[in-house]
Amino acid sequence: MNQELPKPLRNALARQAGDEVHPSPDVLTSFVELKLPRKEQNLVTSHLAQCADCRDVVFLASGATEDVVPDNLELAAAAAPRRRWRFGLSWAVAALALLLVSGVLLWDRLSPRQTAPSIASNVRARESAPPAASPTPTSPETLATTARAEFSAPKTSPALATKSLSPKGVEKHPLAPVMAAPPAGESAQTLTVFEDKAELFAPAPVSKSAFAPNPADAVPHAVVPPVNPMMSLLGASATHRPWRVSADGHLEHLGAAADEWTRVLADETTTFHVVFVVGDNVWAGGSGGALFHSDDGGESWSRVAIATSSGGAEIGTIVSIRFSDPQHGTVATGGGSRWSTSDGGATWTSQ
Amino acid sequence: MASASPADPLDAQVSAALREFCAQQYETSGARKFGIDEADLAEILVEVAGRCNHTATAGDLRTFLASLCLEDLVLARACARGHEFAWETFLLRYRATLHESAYKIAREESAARELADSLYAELYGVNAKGEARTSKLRSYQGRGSLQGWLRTVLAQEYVNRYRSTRRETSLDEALDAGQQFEDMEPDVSVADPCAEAAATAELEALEPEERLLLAAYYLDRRTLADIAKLMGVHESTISRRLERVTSGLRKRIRKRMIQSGMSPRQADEAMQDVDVRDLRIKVKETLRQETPEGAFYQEKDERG
Repeated sequence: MNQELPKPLRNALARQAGDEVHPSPDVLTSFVELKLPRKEQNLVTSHLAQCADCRDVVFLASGATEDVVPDNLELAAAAAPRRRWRFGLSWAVAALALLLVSGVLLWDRLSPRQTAPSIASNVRARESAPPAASPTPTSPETLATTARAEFSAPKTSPALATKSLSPKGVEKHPLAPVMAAPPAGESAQTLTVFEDKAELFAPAPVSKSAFAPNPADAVPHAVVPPVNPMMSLLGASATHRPWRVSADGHLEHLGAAADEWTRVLADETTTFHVVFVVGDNVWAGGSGGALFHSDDGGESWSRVAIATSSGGAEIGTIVSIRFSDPQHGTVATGGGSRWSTSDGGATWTSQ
Repeated sequence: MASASPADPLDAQVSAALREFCAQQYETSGARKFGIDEADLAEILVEVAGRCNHTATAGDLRTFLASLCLEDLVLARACARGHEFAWETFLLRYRATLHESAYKIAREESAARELADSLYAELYGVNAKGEARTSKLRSYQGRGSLQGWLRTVLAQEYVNRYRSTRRETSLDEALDAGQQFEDMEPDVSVADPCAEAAATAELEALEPEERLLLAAYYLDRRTLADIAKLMGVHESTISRRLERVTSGLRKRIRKRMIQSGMSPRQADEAMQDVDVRDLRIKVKETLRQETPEGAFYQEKDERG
C-alpha cells in the first residue's frame, strides 16, 4: 500500500508534526459523530492529519460502533470473532446455494420407495458433521411437512435453535441477527419453514457472565447487529427481515432482497432511537416522546401517545422499548421515566 | 450550588438567551429527576459554552446550546455529583454497551475487562486519601453523545496503554515470538531534498481532509472501509478521492520540481518510489525488455 506513494511524498507526510494540544474526547466524539461545525471540523481534521495518536483514537472509537453484541448473549460468545451481517449474509447465500445444488442432486438420485427422513437430521448433520457428509436421500414432497413437525417439537437447546432456525433453513452464524422474543411461559419453539414468515420462540436464554450486562438488561429481546449501538437496535421481524435505526436516526427495514435498507416513516420528523420487534408487532421510539406501533410487520403504523397524569403526553426521548409479548411491555425515556403497558399500548402506567 | 448567577458575567442578551433555553429545556432534559434545578442547569450550560467559546453572542450561544446532547449532559453531571438515581440510570443505559465497546477496542476479553473496569473507576471518581471525589464524567461537555464519549475515552485509554506497553515489551521476547519488524521511520536518506521540499509544500497546500485521508491510508494503513466510516461517506467515494488526490499531488510536485530547476527526467527520477536495493533488479528488467523477445539469445543458441 505504501509503495503507491512516492517516497518524497511519504516522507513529507510522515514528517508532519502534531500539535502539542490534542482535542478533548468531547471534540473527538463530535468529530466521529459528524456533529462538529465546519470550521471546527477543519481544525480537528487538520490535527488528525498530523497526529497519529488521535487518529488511532478516532478510528478505534469509530470502529467500536460496529456489531453490537446482543445484550442477552454471554460474553464468552461475544469473545468469538464476530462478523458483520453482510458477511454472514454472504455465507447464508452460499449455504443456500449449496443446499439447492444438493437438493437437485438428491432429486436425481431419489427413489419413490425410499423413506423420507427428517429434514432436521439433515440440519443436525450439517451442524455436527463436515459438509462432505452425504445427506440421506429425501423425498421433496414430504420435506415441508416433516420439517414443520420436526421444528414444532420442543427442543432444549436455545443455542441449537438459534443456529438451525434461520430463514428457510439456512444456517447462520450464532451471533447473526435472528434472536427471538420469548412469550412469557413459552417453553417450546415453533418454526414454520418454507413459507414467507418464520417466527422463532425460544426458551429465554438467561446466560450471564461477570462481563455481561445487569439482569435488567438480560431480558431477551429481538436484536441483530446494528450500525450504531447507541442509536440502533435491530429486530428480527415477523417477515424475518431485520429492522434498525440508522446512525442518523431513521427507522429502516431490510428489503425483501436483503440487499437494501428501506426507510420507514420517512415523513416523520422524529429522530428514532430504538426499535423493538415482537412477532408481527414492531415498536419504534425516538425524540419528543414519539412512539410508533405496527401490528402487521411494518405495513401500517399508528402513533401511540403516552398520556401523563397531568393530562399531557410524554415528550421525553424514548430510549428503550422492551416487550415480553405483544401485550406486555415497558418504555423508558431519556429523562428516566418508565411506562408500562399490559394491553398492547392502549394504556400506559408510570413506574 | 448556584451561589452566584452563572449568567452574571455574560452580556444581557446572552444571559437572556441562556435563561430562555433553560426554561424551555429544563423539563425535557430530565434534570429534575436528578436533583438539578434550573439555576444548576444554567450554571452547567454556561460553563460548557464558556469552555467552548460560544458565549460571545446570543445567536452563537443558542446555536451551540441547541447542538448539545442535553439529556446526556445532565445525566453525566448528575452522576458526577453522586446522584444515586442518576448512577442507576447511567448503569442501566451504558454498562452493557461500555463493555461491548471495550471488547471491540481491545479485541481480547481480559484486556477489555481491564479497560472497562479502569474507566469505571475513573467515572466513579477515585476517593483515595480522603480527597474529594472527582468523576471523569465531570469533563463531559455534551458535544457528542455520552455513549460516543465513553467510546472515545476508552479508545484514548487503550491507545495510551498500548503505547506504554509496547515501549515496555522486550525486543528479545518479541523476536522470540517471531514478530517481524518493519521500518517505521521513513528512509529519508535517498530522497532528493528538492523533491522533499516540493512534496512538503504541496502537502501543506492540501485540504485538511485530504491530508487526513493520505495519512490514514498510507501511514496508518487503514482500510478504505474504515476511512469511509469515519468520514461518513461510501467506500468508493474514498477510493476515488484517494486516487484523485495522489495523482494530483504527483503532477503538482513534479511541476514544482521542474519549476525549481530540475529537468523533467530528473523530476521523474526523484518521484520514483524506488529503493537503491531495487535499482539493480529494475535496471536488469529494463535491459531485458529492450531485447525484443529474447531474439538475440535464441539466435546465439541456434548458432551454438
